[in-house]
Amino acid sequence: MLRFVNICLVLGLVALAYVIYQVKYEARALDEEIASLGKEIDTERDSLAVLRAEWSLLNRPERIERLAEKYLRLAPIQPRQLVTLDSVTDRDFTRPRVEVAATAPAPAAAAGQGNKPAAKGPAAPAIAEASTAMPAPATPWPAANVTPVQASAQ
Amino acid sequence: MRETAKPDAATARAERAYLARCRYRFRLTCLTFALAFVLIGGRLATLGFAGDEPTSGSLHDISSTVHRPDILDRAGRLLATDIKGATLYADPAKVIDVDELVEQVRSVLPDLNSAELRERLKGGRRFVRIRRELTPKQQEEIHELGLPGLGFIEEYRRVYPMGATASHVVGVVDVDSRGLSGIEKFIDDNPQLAMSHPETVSGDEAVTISLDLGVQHVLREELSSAISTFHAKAAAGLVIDVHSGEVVGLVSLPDFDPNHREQALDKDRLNRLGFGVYEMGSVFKVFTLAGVLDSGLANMRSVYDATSPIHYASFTIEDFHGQHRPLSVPEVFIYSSNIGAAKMALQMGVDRHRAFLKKLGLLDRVPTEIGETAAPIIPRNWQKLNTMTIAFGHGLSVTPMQLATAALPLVNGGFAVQPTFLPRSREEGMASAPRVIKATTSAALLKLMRLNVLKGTGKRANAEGYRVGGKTGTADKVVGRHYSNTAVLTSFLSAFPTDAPEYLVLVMLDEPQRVAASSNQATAGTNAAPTAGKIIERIGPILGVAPRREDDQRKFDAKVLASY
Repeated sequence: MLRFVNICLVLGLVALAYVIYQVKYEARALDEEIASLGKEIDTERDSLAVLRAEWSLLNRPERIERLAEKYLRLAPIQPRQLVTLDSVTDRDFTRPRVEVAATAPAPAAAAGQGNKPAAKGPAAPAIAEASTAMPAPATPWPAANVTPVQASAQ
Repeated sequence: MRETAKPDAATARAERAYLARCRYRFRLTCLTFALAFVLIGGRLATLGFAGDEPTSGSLHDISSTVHRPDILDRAGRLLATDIKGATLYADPAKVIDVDELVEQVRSVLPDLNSAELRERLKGGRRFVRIRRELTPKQQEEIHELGLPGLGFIEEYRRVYPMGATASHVVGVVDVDSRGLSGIEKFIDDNPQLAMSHPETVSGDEAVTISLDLGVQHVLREELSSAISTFHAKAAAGLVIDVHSGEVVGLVSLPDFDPNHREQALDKDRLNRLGFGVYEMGSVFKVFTLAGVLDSGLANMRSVYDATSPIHYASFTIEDFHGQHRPLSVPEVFIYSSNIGAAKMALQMGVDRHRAFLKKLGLLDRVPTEIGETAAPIIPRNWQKLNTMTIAFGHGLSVTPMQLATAALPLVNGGFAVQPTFLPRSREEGMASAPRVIKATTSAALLKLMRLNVLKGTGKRANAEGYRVGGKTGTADKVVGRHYSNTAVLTSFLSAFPTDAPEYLVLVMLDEPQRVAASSNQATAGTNAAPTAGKIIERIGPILGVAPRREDDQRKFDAKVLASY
């Protein structure tokens, strides 16, 4: 009886020792993984800092402005191009619009129509309507501002 | 039996005693062994649980540079950050041939001072720093030389992606990443600043300041185009929120690129707004009029006789835009009458005039996060003549920052808001500000400033829809010991929109010339005012100030004109 118990205990001991070593090695492997991941995080964080610096370097206002002048047909917003929602009446929506393709000739076409309500495509009807309602020139797109930009792009 | 039994009993007793002794020894041995096993087991357990201490490379620990918080503008755009860079060092004890090492390193870094390096390598120290901030390419090339005794450590390097755009506010750091000027220095003095801010996306600490990068860019661009158009020596511009006191834009040209910190030492590139002291000229009349209106000595209909120049001692005070007739208060302002302003100041009296300027803060330095402004130059013996000349901006030299700070109560309803470079809400700004002038005085001043843009010297500043109001100032500069006829300092102090002011804009040009673009004149109305107008037209949308449609604006202007 005593011998059987002893054998059981010895076997249990061996099994436990095996399990402990197993766990220990696993833990060590995990430790190494943590260390290497930590190192990786550090490198990533550093390259993130570099990338953020580069991102803001590329987003410098002067650079964006230069690129916009070169590639976009946009000019600084004129005060008369800004309206509030309150100043837009129902009448602005119910009035018949002249359908004009939203391409390059649009400003010229709209300008040619004088005081008629000009629609510059679906994107900004409110702005276009408002600019005709105001005493300012009726061009929804400041044609005078577009031309020099085009010239510099070519 | 008895004979034999006796000794038997004796032996048995002895045997029992012997056995008892043995058992005792046996137990002691067992206990000792058990104790030893427990000890060994315990030690094993502690060793097992302790795990491996990470063996850190001892060389990398040399890096002791601090990691500075990022600096962000009010919209979270990056103004300053740290990136890692390699530093090359040598350990002379491991170097085999000093001359060869110097030659080889010089093949990668040609601008190295070889004589000095040789000297330092022979100096007997264990750590000789050769070059900081290596590029990755240089680092690789040096690594490929394969020379013993050379090593790299990683250090943080401060970079300013926006370059010169916000240089005067952000400031610079020295080679050891310690703040030398601007907000950089302020962060070092107030480390809790970085802690109290919400962490950024990357998990780094950051400090947010009140500047707006867009406004900075517009200011810088318009001012540099003003310098080239009017052939000015220098220019400066300032945009302050009139309620919160936040400085949203500060540019002083010529400026410097903080990535090249040696430029910051150039005296010509100093921040003229905070550290340049000038006689500002006619813009000072806003304070004279504010004083005389606030003290109740005059109202908008009061009349001052500007028919003939004032002669006092050996001095004569004349008008530049002379009308040679009695002028009402609004007329004194829009014709910028020196005679009228001098008479107003005299009406207040020397002491009351000085006390009023003191109350506005024109006689004291302005403390800001980027350093206290330079001290104003106050006449040592303030007499009647000083009062008369200071009324139109001569005889008292102040920094433009001080002028703008003193002008804040004139346009925000009467509260002396302190300017700040850190974000602050309008409620906070107004809460801590004492009232220094009456609300009615402020309203009257705004009307006068608007009137001056509609009818007076500031016409060219009228940015469409933004209801700009302002006062021009053209001051003759002191060259040597006399006022010059040709060198002037022009400025334009403005607020917009005048019906509910939000921002104060100050533009200053140093020695603009008479060019065709300014109608061959060098007055502020022809150079500083149009520059301010262009700036306001562009920063209005950035700062969220809604332009008014023309009919609304006419209604407001009609009221202004009616008061005239």
